[in-house]
Amino acid sequence: MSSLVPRCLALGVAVLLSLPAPTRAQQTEQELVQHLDSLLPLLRQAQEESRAAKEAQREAMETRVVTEEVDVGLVRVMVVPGQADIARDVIGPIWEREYAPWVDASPNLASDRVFFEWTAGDFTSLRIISYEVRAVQGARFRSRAYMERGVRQVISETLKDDIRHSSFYQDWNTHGFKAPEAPQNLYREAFTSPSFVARACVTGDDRGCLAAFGLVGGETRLSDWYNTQERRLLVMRNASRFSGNGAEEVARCRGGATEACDGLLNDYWRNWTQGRDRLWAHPFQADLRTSLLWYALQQGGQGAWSRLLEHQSEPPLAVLEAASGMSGEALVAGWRSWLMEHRPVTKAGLGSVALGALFWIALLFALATRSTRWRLG
Amino acid sequence: MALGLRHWLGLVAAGCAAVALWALPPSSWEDPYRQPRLQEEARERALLDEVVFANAKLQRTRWADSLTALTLASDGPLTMGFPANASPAEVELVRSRALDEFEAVEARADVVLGIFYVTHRDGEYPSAPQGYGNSNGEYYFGEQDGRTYCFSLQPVWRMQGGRVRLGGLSNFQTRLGICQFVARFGLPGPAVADWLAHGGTSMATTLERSTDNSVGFATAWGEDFQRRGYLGLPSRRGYYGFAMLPLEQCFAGMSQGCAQLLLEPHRGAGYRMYDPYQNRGRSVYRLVEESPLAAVQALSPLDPSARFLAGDLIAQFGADRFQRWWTSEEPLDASFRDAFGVEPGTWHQERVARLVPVSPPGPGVTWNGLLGVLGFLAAAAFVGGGWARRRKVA
Repeated sequence: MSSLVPRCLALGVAVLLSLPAPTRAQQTEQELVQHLDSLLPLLRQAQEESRAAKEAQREAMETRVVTEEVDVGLVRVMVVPGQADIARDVIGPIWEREYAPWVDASPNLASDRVFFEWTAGDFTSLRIISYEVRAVQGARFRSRAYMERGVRQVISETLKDDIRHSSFYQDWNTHGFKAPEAPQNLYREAFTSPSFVARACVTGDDRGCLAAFGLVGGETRLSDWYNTQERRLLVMRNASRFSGNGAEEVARCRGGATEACDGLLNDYWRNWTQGRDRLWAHPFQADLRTSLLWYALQQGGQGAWSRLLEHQSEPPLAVLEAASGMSGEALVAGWRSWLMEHRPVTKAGLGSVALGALFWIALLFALATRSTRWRLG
Repeated sequence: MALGLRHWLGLVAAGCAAVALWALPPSSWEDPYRQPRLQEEARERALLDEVVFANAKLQRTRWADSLTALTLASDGPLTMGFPANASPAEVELVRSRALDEFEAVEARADVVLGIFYVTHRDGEYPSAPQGYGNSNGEYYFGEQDGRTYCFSLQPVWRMQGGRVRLGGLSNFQTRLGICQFVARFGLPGPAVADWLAHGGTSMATTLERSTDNSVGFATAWGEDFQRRGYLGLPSRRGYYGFAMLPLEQCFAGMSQGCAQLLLEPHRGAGYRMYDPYQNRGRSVYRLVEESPLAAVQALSPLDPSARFLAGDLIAQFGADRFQRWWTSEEPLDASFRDAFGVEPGTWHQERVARLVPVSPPGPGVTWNGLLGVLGFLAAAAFVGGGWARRRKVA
């Protein structure tokens, strides 16, 4: 008898759950307004309380976590006790090899901190309200290369803060200050850009390079970079940018109506005047620009960063010339030579294929001749 | 002592386990940015969700009330409305395209239609946060005073300087969208209405049938949709890059996957293709259930070929049979079978196979590589053969 009670209860609950949920009645406009009237003050209060609680938590964290500070070059690194040597070991070579040659002083590197933690345990949650901290945290199973990428990223972001509000950064967008990870991809990008100035650049025309990088002053027209066919390709590759009523025009452009392609591009160019909004339409975009900037800083050597900061409000070409200490033509010519050195291998890689095939043949051969278990017949 | 086969297999298994242990991160590792939030923050978020949802319902209620009245009060069968500051050229373009669409519909006399552009903040509660700002078109349909109405609504953003651009209604949807079907076939039955509310709008955007050109059209996602190539090789021009089981099943020729994509498009999608709010823990389906909103324009993973699905049904089976399905009181799969005489999954699978081309394979092995491998194999066979001939068994 007693076992029947829970069974009946369970059955009852199951029946209730299986019944279709009643459709909620739609509320009237007045009911909804009243509902919002009552909810909004509660939301404001909850937002205030949440903000205060988060602030209190941050302050508690700041005072509770014990950290040490070590300087690696100009980078001020915070670590939890026991991680200082690991931080020096990972960050030191990167700084010395990639940044020390040209970063002589940086306001944000001087004021901000990098929090480094590569641990098998839980991550430390660190919130500092008195200065900016950028964290590089990784679980112990992460590779050294992973941590190194993080270090480059935070140094790059900190340097970016030095020029974030400058016209150079806002008009001539780059991805930051990091050595190109895959120069072969940049080579492909430069050679496959559907623009006649890009082709001129890679075949040795310095003025073409300056145009492809958007370094030529004055009002830019897309016809200065792309011929008719290329403008059509540009529209087709970026069809999503012309949504709405542009869809019909995209279709016409696809069908070969040149005036439709130009209409779309001109319309876009008129409506979007910021550098970052126009970047997609440039022959050489952010990755290639980042590589040119990196090359300029490398060439500039000691003091290059300070010179860049001094000239950051000038036109992009002047900034790059100041940083590199070279003329614009010489700079892009040097960059092109660097790019050519990274021409990807286009052969089939017969060596590794042959070695692999030989290995397997040898292995199977050895098995076939050494053991009756592996031999047929 | 030679190792037996069992030992070899054991060694291989142990090796695989060692590689797995080495390669996989520990399961207890937790993303530090997903740690539990404060109680106050959780409360704030719950209240915010409630306010945002109430605001969205208020907006839809106001849009439905005012625009339904406007549609029904109009003298003509098609009413259009645009925000102030819209470009006259764009208004004229939309108007002429909409009239072209309307003329092609062959609308019933008792149906009135509307197309309205509103700005995203129109009709909302002042100072309340917004979370259902939809860039896809919305549909409202029903019956009032013995007349059937249907209107599409396109929220647009007001730009700097108060200008309004009439974007949004792209080639994914026509201006009238599913209202074309309401105009010709009347209000949908409960099953089809539910289907439309749950992603079916992506398959009923035009009365036109598909053509070779229509599936090769450039979409927001790139050009020329293709499915996975032979032997499961990845497509050169990916279909958004989101892996979805029913889609893969359908491409592989399994009719159950095609049936699910056709009848329950919102299930298994796993992305905001059908529900633009899914990724924020909000659901358009709840909004449809609790507000006058009938459906939101969805985007299908089979776009652009899916846009012509309903048009293809009409072209293949005729308007009468389509109307029987459209207005049926039966469940969706049964009514499909009754009206068209085919299994939904089978029909859809054939359609997908016909319209979505297989991605052609890329460059194969070069002649050099092929000859090289054959050369190595031949050399090894000679060496092995010679060795075996010289071998003597004592």
